[in-house]
Amino acid sequence: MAADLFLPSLTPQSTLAELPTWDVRLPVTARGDAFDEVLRRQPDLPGVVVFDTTGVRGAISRTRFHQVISRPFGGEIVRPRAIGALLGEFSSGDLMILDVNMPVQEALRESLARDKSMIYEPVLISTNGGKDVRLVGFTDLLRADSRISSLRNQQMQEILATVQEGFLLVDRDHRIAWEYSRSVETILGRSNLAGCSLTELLRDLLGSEAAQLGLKYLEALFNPNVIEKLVVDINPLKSVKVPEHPGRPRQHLGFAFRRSFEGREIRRVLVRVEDRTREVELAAELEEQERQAGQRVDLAMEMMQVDADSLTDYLTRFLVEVSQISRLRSQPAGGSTRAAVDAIFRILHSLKGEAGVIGLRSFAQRLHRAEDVVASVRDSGTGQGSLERLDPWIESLRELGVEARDLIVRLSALVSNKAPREVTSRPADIVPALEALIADLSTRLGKAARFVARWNPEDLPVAYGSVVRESLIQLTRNSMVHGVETERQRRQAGKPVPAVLQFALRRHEAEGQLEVLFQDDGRGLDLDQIRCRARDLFGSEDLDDEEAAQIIFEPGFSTALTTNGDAGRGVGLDLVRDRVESLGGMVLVHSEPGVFCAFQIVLPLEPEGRS
Amino acid sequence: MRLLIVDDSLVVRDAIQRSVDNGTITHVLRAGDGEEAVSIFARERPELVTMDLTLPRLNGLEAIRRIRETEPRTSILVISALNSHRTAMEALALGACGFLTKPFTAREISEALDQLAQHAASQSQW
Repeated sequence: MAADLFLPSLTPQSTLAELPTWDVRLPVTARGDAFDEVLRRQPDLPGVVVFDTTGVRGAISRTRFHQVISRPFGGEIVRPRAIGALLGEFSSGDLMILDVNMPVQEALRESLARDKSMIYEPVLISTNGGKDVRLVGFTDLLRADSRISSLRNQQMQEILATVQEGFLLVDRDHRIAWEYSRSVETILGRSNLAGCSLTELLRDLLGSEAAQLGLKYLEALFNPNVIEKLVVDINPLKSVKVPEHPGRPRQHLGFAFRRSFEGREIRRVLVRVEDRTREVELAAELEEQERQAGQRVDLAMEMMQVDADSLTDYLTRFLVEVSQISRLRSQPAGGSTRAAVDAIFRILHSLKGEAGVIGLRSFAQRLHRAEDVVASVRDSGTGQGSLERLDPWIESLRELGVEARDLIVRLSALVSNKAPREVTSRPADIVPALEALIADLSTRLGKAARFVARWNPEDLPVAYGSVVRESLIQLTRNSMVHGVETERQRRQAGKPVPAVLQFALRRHEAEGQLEVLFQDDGRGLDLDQIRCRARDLFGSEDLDDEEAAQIIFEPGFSTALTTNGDAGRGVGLDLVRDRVESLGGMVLVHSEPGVFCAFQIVLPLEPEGRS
Repeated sequence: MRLLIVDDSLVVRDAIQRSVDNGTITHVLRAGDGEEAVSIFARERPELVTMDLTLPRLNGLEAIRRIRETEPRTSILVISALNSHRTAMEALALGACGFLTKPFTAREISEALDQLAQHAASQSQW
């Protein structure tokens, strides 16, 4: 259609001037049949302007003219007469003339405000500062408006489809308006939101607690008594965690609200929906970094309180053992993953024990958590790739060791060599360390015990310093957790309080042997319980007393039912045995129920090899 | 307009009062607890109130409720630490116009008081 040619160039600012106009005029004196002839010659003409000597009198449209002449005798009445006489038939009310510079959409609103009988009539427009009057067809005006609206809508849809932000509008009843940005669906993982209740959606997404707060906030925003700017800070949905659903990734959402007005009235609230997961995670990472920095300070404080030699020794051993763990992890000993996990476990356990003794709590805590991970790997089956779960822990332990070593370097640089310290012989440190451990365990376990050492530190070969120390630590823990009864139990059994843990060291030069004795006066080995546990753990049946006693040295054996930092993981005694045997020695256990439990470690005076 | 400052801390009351630099607030009243706030309000009927939520004797929420009961056109700004969103939402439901979280800066309080005064002026026009 020819009339469509003008449409593509229209914009919301387009005025009536851009529409096709008609300036066919007839004087009031022209006859009806002349008008009919004009209409016949110009089939697109919507109507004519009628004028007299005083100016424009009105307009007569093609539609109206045809309506009138198609009435009975209409043609006979109208054709021979002057059209001016009939003007009243064709129009009513005041003459409306719009300025040619009026925007199209406004002009349509004006035209629609005309008298009902006039609505479809052409629109009169004044051009040339009011000197000329022309006609615009009503359908042209309607089509132009519709075109502009649809272009507007199309652009709006483009924005809504493209914008990254989630935008939606809600009304007073919390219903979501038709138009919202596509991102809303992506962010919320829900579709077809138009007309849905925002509160229900929130309840579904965030749970009733958060939804309830959101609802109250929304109500406040629709309440004219509330000042919008002064409630922005208390938006309860600024950042909310989506409760974790299986199959949906962890997510944090943010909702921001803004009133939209119609005049002074709050019509709707615009809601901006954001996925804040990344942001929240970054903040958590930052917090974690700060926490680690704090831990570093704690570590430094802790290290400054530890005897310098023990610290250096421990750190050296720690780093060596961590490398050993890495080796075990990448090339499981004997190809068995299970054996590697057990070995790693024992190393961690031993390192932890020592850390506790010398007072490196951060190390002890970190190692305990690492043990948890290893235990869970062990218990959940050591299939392909299960060792990979250990990697972050191995790495974190190595970092801890390196960090501590760097700290030592820096700390010693600070104190330089101003105060040369008394070099104490290492074996002599064993007793105070064990006493400290016993004191610590006594308070935590509610058990009282004292330590008696019968030895001459000089009898201990330097090469055995570490194994003896380590073994005594494990045996002490073991005694305190499993052997020694609580104070009440001891009193009920008529036994003295505190319990006594004894340590003795003897050199048997003739046999070429070093004997380490460790004994407690606790409840002794409960062989029945051990047999029972052995059956559950290893399926061992019908163990005699000797065999049952020996089974406590098996990796993974434990009679304690709960796992805490002290014992109960079933690690310790196997570690002692391994270390001792690797040096060509042996460990024996003797016990009498209710009376005592003694461990005897025998080592060759001439060490055979090093572990 | 007159402003009633309600806070149990003298330091906070002073800080708020010092920030009153807008020409529309001509007179300042002060209360240190909820009961006192309600009785001063009943006597003086100030147009504006700043209200702490944790107050001795009568808590802030209850004070807001009673003040709005006495005079529903009062513009009340809560100035309190945001301990729970639930309480904050309740304050709005009871008729508070806004919420300024502690700690605040002099500039924040001054801007908030401006808006409160503007709001009160527009309410009385209606």
